[in-house]
Amino acid sequence: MNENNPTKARMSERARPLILVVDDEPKNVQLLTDLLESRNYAVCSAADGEQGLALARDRLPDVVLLDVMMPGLNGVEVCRRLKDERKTEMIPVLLVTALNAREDRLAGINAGANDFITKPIDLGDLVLRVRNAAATKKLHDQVGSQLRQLQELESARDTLTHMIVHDLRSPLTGLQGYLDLIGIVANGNAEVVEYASEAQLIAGRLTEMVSQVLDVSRLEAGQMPVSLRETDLVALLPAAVASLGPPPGEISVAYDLPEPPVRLMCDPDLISRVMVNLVGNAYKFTPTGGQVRVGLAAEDDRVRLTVTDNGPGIPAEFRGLIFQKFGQAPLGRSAGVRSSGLGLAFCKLAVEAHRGKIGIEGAEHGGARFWVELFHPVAQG
Amino acid sequence: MVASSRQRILVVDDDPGIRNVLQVGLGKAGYEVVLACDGAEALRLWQAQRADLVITDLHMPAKNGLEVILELLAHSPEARIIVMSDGGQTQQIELLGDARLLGAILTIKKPFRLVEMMSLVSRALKWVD
Repeated sequence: MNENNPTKARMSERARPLILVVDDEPKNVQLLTDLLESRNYAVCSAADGEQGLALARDRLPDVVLLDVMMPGLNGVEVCRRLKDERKTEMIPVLLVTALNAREDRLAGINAGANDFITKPIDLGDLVLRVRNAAATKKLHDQVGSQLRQLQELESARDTLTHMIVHDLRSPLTGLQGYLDLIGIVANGNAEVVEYASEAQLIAGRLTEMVSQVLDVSRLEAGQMPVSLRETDLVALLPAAVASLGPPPGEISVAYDLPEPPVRLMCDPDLISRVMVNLVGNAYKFTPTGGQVRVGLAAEDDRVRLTVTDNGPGIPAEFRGLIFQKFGQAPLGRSAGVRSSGLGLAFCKLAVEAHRGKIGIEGAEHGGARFWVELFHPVAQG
Repeated sequence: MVASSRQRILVVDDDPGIRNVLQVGLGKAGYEVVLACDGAEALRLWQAQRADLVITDLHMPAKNGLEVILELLAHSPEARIIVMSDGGQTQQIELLGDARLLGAILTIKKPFRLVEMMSLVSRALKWVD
């Protein structure tokens, strides 16, 4: 056992569940120790409440068998203290009470005891209750350690992503610089100029992806400056969509826009990028010859932006997931992936930085409709 | 964009891609380019021969960009400096602000395009205190 870290030793190295028996009657301690050891449990024991508490904190047993009637700190009090401490609160406590001690039982339940054993002790009954308590504890430990593993993985993933992305910026600058130089020295060779500029576009996309990862980190940390300006959304939306270039695969874009202007206090840069992401996402999942509809509706206290595609749609159970970082909805029968998983996370964070809402709903003919609601600032009265 | 009488530019970055592309790009524009791969080397080169302009990265081993700026300006208050940063992270944006306060005259965030750097360089060299 690792003496420096009893908690870790307990979790990973303990082969047999450890039962702590606390009883001021040495005869009882001996009886219970023999019985439990014969059932392949490890047993430690204490002769009073204080000692029991100290031992529980130190050894972190899997089950505590606690006699209620003890001089000094009684069983109910020991139980209450165990349940009050984060380190020991999840250890099942079995209180051993006299048969008709109703008051003890109520006090025990109040103190958080998990189960009761009545005196005179029925050994068969005790073994079953201890077994169940140990099983519950084991499940609890498993869930806890899986959760910790997941949290560690998630944090490692974020750190790694951030590190990679961070380190990509210098090489990208070098790469784009050389592509520019190739264009400069091409000496009128149209083919070389064309290939260099194609490669430059691809490098530009990489740069975009890098910015996206960093923007998501900054938005998550609340470090993204949001500069609000009065903006006409009727003008902003088509300009944002146009910045994506022509749609792929003969997809057409249709607009449902009200008469200009529809003014809103927002960060035009962030909202443009939200639109670019939503429309770019719609392009990816709209079949050849399909249509993407971009809508804007002004209501009393808010504006509602919509981007509707006639792609495969997103099943209701995945609609919450796709706004999470790296979240993707499976595409059912059709193969492929929905996105890098960051664009929509960016949208959600950017919209929330405006105190707005974002969501997705099913559209007619099975497509997906993303909507964004942005609110006018409430006039102070 | 050919510079008169070959102005000297000291480029300081631990990333060889950036050093080399700036050497070629600025060289084609007519500048004489000297390369350093960290702050300590940059200061040694500066002591040996002054440059008309220093372009430095912020995050480097063996003296970072801020130390370079501080020591350069302590010796030569007239030094013109362009700072390149990895940008993105808040601390680095603040660092850029610090760099400006300390006397670096222009800043640029990575990744940048060669043309952006070229126009920054000609602005810096035309700078009048």
